[in-house]
Amino acid sequence: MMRRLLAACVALAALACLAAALGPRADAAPEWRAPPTQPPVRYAIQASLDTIPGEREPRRIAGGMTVLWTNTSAEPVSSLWFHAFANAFADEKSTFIREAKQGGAELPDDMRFGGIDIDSIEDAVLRTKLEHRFVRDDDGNPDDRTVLRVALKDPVEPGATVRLRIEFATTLPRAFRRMGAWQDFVFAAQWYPKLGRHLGTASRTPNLREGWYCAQYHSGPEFCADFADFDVTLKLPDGWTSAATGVRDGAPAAEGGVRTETWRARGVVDFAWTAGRRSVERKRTVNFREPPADAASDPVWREILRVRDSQGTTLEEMGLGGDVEVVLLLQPEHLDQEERHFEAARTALGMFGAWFGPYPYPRLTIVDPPHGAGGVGGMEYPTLVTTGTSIGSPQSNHRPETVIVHEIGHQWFMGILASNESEEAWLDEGLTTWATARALHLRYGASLPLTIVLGRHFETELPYTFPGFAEGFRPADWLPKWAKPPEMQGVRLWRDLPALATAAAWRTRDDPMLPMRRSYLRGAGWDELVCSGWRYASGDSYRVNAYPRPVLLMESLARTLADRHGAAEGETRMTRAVREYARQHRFRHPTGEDLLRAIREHAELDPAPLWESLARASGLLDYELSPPREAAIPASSDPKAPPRTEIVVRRKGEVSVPVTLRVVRKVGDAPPVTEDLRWDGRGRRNTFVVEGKVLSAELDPGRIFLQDANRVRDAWTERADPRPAVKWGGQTLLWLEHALTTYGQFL
Amino acid sequence: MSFGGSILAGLSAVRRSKRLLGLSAVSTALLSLPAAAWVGRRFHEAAAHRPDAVDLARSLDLDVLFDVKQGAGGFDADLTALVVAALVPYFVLRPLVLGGYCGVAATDRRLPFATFVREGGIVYWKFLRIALIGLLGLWGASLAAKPLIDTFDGFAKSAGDEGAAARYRLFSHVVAVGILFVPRLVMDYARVGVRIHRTPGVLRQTGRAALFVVSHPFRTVGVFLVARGFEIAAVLLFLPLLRAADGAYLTTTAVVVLLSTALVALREASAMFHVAAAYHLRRADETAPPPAPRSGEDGPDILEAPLPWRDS
Repeated sequence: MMRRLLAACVALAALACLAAALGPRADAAPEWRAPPTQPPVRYAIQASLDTIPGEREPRRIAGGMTVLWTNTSAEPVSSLWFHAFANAFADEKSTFIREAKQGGAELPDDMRFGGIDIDSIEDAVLRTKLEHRFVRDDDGNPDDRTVLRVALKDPVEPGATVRLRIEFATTLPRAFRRMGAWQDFVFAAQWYPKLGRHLGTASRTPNLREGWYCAQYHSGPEFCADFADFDVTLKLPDGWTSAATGVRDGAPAAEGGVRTETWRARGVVDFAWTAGRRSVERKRTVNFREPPADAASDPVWREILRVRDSQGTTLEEMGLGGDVEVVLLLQPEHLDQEERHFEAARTALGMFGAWFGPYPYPRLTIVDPPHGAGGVGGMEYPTLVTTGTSIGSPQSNHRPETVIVHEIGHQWFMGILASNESEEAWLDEGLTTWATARALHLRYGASLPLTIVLGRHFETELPYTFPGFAEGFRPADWLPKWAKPPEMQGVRLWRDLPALATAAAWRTRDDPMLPMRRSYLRGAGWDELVCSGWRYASGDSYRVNAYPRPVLLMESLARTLADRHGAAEGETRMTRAVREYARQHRFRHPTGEDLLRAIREHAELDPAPLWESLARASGLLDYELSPPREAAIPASSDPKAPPRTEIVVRRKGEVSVPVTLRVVRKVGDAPPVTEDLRWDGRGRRNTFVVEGKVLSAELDPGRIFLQDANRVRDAWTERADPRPAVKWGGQTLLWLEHALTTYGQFL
Repeated sequence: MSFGGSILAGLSAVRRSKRLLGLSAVSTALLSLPAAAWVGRRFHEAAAHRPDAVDLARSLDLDVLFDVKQGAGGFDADLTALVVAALVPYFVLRPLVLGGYCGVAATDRRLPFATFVREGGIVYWKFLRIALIGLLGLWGASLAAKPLIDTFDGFAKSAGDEGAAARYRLFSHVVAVGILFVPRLVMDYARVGVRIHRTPGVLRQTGRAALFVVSHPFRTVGVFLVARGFEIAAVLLFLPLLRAADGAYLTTTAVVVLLSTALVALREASAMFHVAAAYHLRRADETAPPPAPRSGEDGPDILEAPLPWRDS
């Protein structure tokens, strides 16, 4: 008996060992998570797009919705907080419009306001009306009605569900920003009362009210929501092309000029839809199941295979084999750019899929809004993004590719990794912009600047613009409006002759991240990186801290890794870190701390020092070197001893980072020697003394810190080269003599 | 004189004045030099000692440009001041040059430089006043173009598709530029009028010039369009040449500057062409014999006409 028992134990142990060997390893990463099947929120919405009496085109959405909310916290909840963001467009007094105007936005001449009317809110089970009121705790603006607090009759206990029925009517504004209607096109975003996110009163997240995070609609951030399921029935004018978050359920039914269609979306943070008479629909299926024969010449496949090989994984584990139906709603005048749109979508799905995990939904829609509704372009909603292009847009400028790749990037950063954009915009816009810049560079190479005059595209940038007729005489702003000459772009065409006067500027060179540097420095130095979206010093400061600054931070981390471990290994580590961040927090609500932890653990780089310098500090980073000079004190009294040279590096900015100075020096007749000298960068200045004569010196040769406020004094060579001065002086001469000749023609 | 004759007269004037046109272009280049030298100096400070100086000469580095602009002082504001500083002497010098062009138009011979300057000097103050009136006219024309631009901008905004919107905008702005050229058209005829009559009264000549343009719209506008067409053709011709010549070497820059100055000379040639053609149109009109009365159709003597005060 004992022997049998022993044999059974041995057999079981052997089986266990075999299972352990064949099954997933204990340290193996979990699979890429699918959308949650039991999200805490469920919406069932019925909406009809109607025409307001007296108007020609529909822009009013009469709707009713049932919302189920499950209390996943450990405390009873006695109120529900909703976003009523459509009220941001009710008038000019809303916080959104005030902030937008403060940031320089102008309302269109033909602006029509909108808003959302809440007709009734009732407990759908008890059939009792619930009281509601608008709150504006972010800024106290009494005219803002974008947050709605609904008082429940009875608290919702932990784990319990409440079901509300809300009748509402949303009037879409003239398409201005993010949403609206224009002629026979509507884009309905933030069109229904959307629940805020309940975190519980114990959460340390700032700006919580009764445990809810439910910010007003601000000009900057927009997203913070729980994952939810949506079942939406739309009644639209028959003949209009439509698209929405999720997938269409069944065939639409048309009756009496009205088409009824149902859309279902599972595990998404928002729901938007669009309809238009002129949009042309195109479809294509994208997957990355098998590498094609020419994979080596395809930048997208090349990057997927690089990630596969560098991360020691397989295509199956990467999960990129699933079909994604890409639907394109194009304006007819942009049909010649169809292929570019699809290729940009394929680039995004492939590269982001490789870096951040597979796109988890079966469908992705790209909407090209008409020219009068450009304000809704460049927006992201789950499985539905808007883009923007223009007739004749050259590919060299990567437009619309940039917008498409960027907005699809948001499917991960806010869609799948649903961070709080209002509190940590850098995790949303910043990571998306960083990934976009990298993907575009890999797929398309350097981007050429573009100057558009009267719809004509010139692949160049005018380095300078004289404020004459072409710009409506800005210096003569003191003139009364009637006496002020209009802005005459035609004069600009004739005066600047963009194709001619900038003939030399058509060739540009750029690190793909340098445009971010310029964008950052235009508004840097006001705030810390992380701040509530509406508390930045200005709209510019918000934009800087949401977009370019985190890009430069991430790039500094990536380049630090490359500097320490070599380019390939540095890239591998950075890829591993962001992949693990994306894997662990897929369909979760990560914070910045989660990302930093992933970098620490998976890239084996402590990000804290750089985080302190480049994110926590609000000042500028600026180092410069002075031209080398002979050291006053020689190394020895021997007259034959080689001279010593000193180079002073000065810290002009408030921010300090480790400094590398690359010096090429020559001692006697020996060949020149290149060496990297290091300084912790903390003092105000540091004097490097080297033996021999310095031929050249360069600060930060690895371009790790693109945040440097002025890089022209970061490098030095012994011999002055007059060619840049002659070249660009000559170009100025060229431009000015033709500008004078043009002005002479008018006299 | 016919339209064709005036074109030939314009071409003849240009053919006879190659050196003068070159001088005019060189003077424009000299006026542009201070601004160019200033920009060159700024780039020298920023880029001469950089290891990638050749690359910076070869292609526009937007980042370095950004840093140059970020540096001490306002780059754009300083450059604007220098451009204005070039514009003022250009404006002051222009009447002299245009006076010279009128002198060229008034003769069939090649004009020596001294005579060219003397011709310009004789009418300088009148032409300067005409230029000032032209400035006012330019401002007025821009205001006149405003409703057109606004109206078409409204059409563009409400246009159903982007193509139609772009066409509306392009049309309105091209027409607006055309409107801006109207004062110039009139002023050229005023200048040749002053040159033909050598009488004081700039305002009177301007009025007569406007009347002349209105009375002969096809010929005057036609000649003007030929001049502009000539200029546009020159620009299009030089564009590939300038691109081909562009490079990172001192010699390539010198070639670009020379080509550019040659193009300015051609654009000046179009200006001279127009002045000469206008001169001949206007002179032909003024020296033409008055139309002979048709026999037997003499009208009643106005002095004998029944007038109210004669009734008494």
